[in-house]
Amino acid sequence: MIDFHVKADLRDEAKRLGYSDIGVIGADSGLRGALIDAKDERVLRDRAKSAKADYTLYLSHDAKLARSCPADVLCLDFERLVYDTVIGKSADFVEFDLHSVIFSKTGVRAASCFEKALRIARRCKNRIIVSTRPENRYQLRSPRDIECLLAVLGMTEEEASAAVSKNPAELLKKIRGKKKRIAKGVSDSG
Amino acid sequence: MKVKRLPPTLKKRQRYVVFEVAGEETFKKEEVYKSLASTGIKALGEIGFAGLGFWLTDFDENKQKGILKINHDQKDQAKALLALASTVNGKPARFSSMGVSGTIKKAKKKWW
Repeated sequence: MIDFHVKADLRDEAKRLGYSDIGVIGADSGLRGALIDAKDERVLRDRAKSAKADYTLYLSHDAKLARSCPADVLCLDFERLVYDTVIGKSADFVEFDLHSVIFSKTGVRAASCFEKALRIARRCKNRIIVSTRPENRYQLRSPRDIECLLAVLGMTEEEASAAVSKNPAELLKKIRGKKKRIAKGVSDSG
Repeated sequence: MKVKRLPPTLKKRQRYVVFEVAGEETFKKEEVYKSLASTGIKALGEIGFAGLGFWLTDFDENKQKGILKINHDQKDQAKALLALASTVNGKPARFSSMGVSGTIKKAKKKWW
């Protein structure tokens, strides 16, 4: 499993728990991610292009921006869910943020939003990835436990397994493919 | 008259989940049990939690490892419960499952 939404100081602890790799927001080395946001669609697109990171994430809080989201991953916060079929059809990878389900006092509401989001993701055939967005080492969860939690929250066994291992691996493959891409007319000197 | 024991075929099968707790300080067995039980009731409801057949069989306060006894068909729920528990006695803690076994002896041999 790869968690794409972790802080740099939790890398070692995450590997000990069974994560194969970690995507760190705002890191200088390794798998680097950038959380982008803007008030305007054009500015958001520019920020996504100019971000010095391997992949970009956008936290869905504005329906208009989320519909034309240029980021690689669309993050869903279950405390204030902004996600519908129009957004779902324009997105490919969708990150289910379990932080609010596990740690928030309004976990019940978050769990019901999870169900709604799952229904939309199934309909739009979005590839689901999962993160617990840990803020400290006590908020990290092992991939095996996350898989069971997803099954309890309403996913099928195959969906839970894909969200934990297959889809993150596909996203990583996409990121690495993007990194290696050489523009037309430029020869590889190495 | 001698009371007949329940034959093994009618007994409920059990699984034993070995888990570890990580926190800023060490926790006692009662504190861990209270935390898991309250999280279970909150997440699964009283009926759902009762169906789990939950019991904290053993807890080593030095190693901070424990064994949960649960019904054999409820191990996913038990692991989800461990993922959902985030505090013990009001202090932040992390529960992580290490493995599931059919007997205490094997569970202790492998992960204790």
